[in-house]
Amino acid sequence: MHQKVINTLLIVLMGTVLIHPASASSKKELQPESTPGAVTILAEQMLGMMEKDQSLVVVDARVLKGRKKGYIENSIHLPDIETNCDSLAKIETNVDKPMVFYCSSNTCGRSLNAVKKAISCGYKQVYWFRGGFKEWKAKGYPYKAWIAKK
Amino acid sequence: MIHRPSMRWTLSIVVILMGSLAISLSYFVGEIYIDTSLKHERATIESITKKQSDYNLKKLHSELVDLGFGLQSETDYPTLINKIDKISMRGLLEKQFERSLSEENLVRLQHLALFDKELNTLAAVSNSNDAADRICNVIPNLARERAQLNTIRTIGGLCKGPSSVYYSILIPVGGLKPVGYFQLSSDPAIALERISEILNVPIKITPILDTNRFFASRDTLQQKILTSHTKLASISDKEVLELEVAQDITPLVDSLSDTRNQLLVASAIVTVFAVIFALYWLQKSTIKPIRDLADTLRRVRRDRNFLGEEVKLAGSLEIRELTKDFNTMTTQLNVMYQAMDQLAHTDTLTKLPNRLELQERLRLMIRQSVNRDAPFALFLIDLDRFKNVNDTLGHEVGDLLLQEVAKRLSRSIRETDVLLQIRSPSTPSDATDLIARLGGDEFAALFPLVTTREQAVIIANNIVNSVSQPLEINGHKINVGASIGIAFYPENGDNERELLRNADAAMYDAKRKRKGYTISNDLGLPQPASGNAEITTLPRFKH
Repeated sequence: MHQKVINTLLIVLMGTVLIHPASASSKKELQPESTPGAVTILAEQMLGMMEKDQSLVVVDARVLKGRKKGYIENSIHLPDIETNCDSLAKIETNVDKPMVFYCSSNTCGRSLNAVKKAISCGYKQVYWFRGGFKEWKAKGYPYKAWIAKK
Repeated sequence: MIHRPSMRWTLSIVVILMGSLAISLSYFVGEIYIDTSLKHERATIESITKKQSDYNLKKLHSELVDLGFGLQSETDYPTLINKIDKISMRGLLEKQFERSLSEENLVRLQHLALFDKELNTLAAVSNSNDAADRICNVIPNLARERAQLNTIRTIGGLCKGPSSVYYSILIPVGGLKPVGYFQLSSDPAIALERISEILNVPIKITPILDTNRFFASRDTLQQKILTSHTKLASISDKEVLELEVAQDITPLVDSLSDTRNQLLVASAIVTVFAVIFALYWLQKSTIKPIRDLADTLRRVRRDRNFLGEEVKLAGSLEIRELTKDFNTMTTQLNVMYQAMDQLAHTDTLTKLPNRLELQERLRLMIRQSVNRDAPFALFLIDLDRFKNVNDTLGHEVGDLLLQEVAKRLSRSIRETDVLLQIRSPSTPSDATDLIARLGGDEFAALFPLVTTREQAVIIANNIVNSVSQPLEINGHKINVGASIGIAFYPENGDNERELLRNADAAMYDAKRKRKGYTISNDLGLPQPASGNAEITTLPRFKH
């Protein structure tokens, strides 16, 4: 009989856990906190850098599907799968200039991939905005909505 | 007579009342258990509702932000704002607002407003009863306060219009270098209604407005509906929405009741056993020992032979002490009674049984003989010349003489028993000979085993010889004789009176003829009863 009551309570509690938003994305693995040769930054730091340097190169490493959900203003769309020394050179030839990479969130992995490629291509000031678009949006910073080109 | 309840009943009622008290206590514990469980259940539902509403409002927030930036991407608002073309702005806003009304998902746009950099209203559109410029003023006001700190961050939350509650956000226009702001306000109901689907419970959303404060209705447990009330706070930390979730808790209440009932049954069983044990223990330790005492007392009252009978020690300490005291008392009483009985049946001078004892014994023997058909002999013994001794030597010598005669009689009877060899180990113990002093110089003897004339004659001769031996008292030589009358039962009388009368007559015959003894049979037919009391009673003292 007690078992019945306990079961009822357990079902209710399980319901709580299941509908809890945090558990939805818990399947995806978190990316490492940092990677050698690059500086991990937060949204505020990136914003500060953007204010200081209007020409700061911000690379959106997501594929188009992610880009369509909105993007950080003035960021350049270069999916990690298309990233190489040539495509990077098209964006910035000066390897001494800072470059920031981001993707969807701290679980997506595309920005880290791109960061590694940029380092291997010899870029000296590589910044990794690990939290990505999710962190940016969650902190209430403005972004651009995707408009399909006609 | 007032009927008073017995101890057994009183104690039983007390024990049963205590048992009932225990059962009702467990009933109340069960009720408290149900109440606590339901409270816990309600708290759980409230917590879930709160979490879920936070989650849904966050989604609504996100969708509103998406909508806001989406709207911006369609039109060059920075240019419009810079031109301060309010008419075009309003037209554009209305158009965009109309289009946004058909948006799916959680957003139900109610209000759209455009502000310049200093948060002055440029244009506003509303779809609700509330005027556009009065909806959620708190948001731009808050933004003004925060302006120094952060101008580009989106802010949003629940807020009030005059007649309704909204979810409103403020986003910058012009990206990282804002030139103005957008305010979008949506009805939060759609987002909150989703909770109903997710939790599968009906939900009632009530705005808490200054004019109409919401009061929680009473729980309707009888209908087995559990309602929980979750209050949501606005961006300015005032409670603006109440979510009332109703949940059918029939299974829960049923299972709780089942548990309560099982608890009740278990405690009832335990209590019943406890009551039975308590009653059994009371019966054993108190009631039965007291009853035993009372029974013994009653028996003693009916028949004094039970006096001295001890009651077995049992029960509790107090009862044992009482029983012990009772036993001491009854033993002492018995000793006293025995002593008194002895006194009543003994001749003080000779220590022989007295007339009373003889009468009782005779009656008893006749009663027993009727059943057993056992004959016996009765001797009446009268001393010869005793009156002379008494008259000449005084009562003192007479008394000493009687004592000596009593000894001789006893001795001679013992001797004749041995002589006749009429006793065997199978002889009943109550068949002992009895010699009694009736008074004066008269004695009587009962011989339960003497049935023949020959035996009687041997005994009579022996007695006469024994008594006739000269004796010396206080220096006086004294010679007395004995005259004996012998009667047989039932030959010479089948009742006490007749037997005694015939023995008496025979004794007088012996005395008159000076021949020692006379057997009643030798007198011929007994004299008819003349109704003379003197004859039918025992012989009297003759002096």
